[in-house]
Amino acid sequence: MKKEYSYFKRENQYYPLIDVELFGPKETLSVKALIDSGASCSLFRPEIANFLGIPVNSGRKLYFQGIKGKIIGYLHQIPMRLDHKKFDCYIAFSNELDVSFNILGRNNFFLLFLITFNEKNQRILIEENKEDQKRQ
Amino acid sequence: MKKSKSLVRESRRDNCANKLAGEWVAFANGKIVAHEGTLKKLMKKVKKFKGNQKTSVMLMPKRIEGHFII
Repeated sequence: MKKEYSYFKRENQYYPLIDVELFGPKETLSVKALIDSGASCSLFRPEIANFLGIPVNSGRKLYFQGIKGKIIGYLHQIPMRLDHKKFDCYIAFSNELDVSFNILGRNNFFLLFLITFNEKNQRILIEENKEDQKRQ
Repeated sequence: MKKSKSLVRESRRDNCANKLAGEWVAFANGKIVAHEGTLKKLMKKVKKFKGNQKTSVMLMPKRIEGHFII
C-alpha cells in the first residue's frame, strides 16, 4: 500500500489530514484525522465514539498533557482501515478535547506505516511499513 | 487584475470553511456535500443520498481555534 494525500487548507494554513475508516459495534464511519508526529497517542472527538456505539468512559482512563494543561481521555482498541489495510488502532476519546481535529498520534498508527511529510508541496505520502510485516 | 481560476476556487473554499466553522461537515471527492450542527444529524442526511459515494466527516474548526500547534 502506498498512497499520497493533499493537505487540507484552512485560513491560509495547511494541515496533513487523511481519511480513515473506523468500525464500531453499531456503525462504521470514515473520518478525517490529522497526522501528528508530536502526539504520542491518537485522540479523537467523543461524538465519533458515540456514533460508533462505543461508550467513551468504558476505556482505560489516561491523562494527556498538552500545552494548555491536562485532560482525561479513555483509551479504546478500534478496528481501523486506511486504504485497503485494516488493523486495530489505539484511540483515546476525550470529552474535554477542545480541538476540532481528530489526532492520529504515534502509538500505534506510526508503527504500521512509513509517513513522509512533503511540506513544500503540501502532500503526505503513506506507505505500508514492510519491516512491521516481517516482525509479525 | 484578474484572479486565476485556482485562486478563485481556493478563496471560495476558504469562505465555505469559515461559514461552516463549528459544524460537522461531510466530504465526497474532496468537496463538501453536507453539513449539520451535530454528527448524528449529518449522518442521517448523508445516508439519504450517499449511494456509492464515499464520504468522510470532520468537525470544522472554529475561527477562535486559530493556528494549531498540537
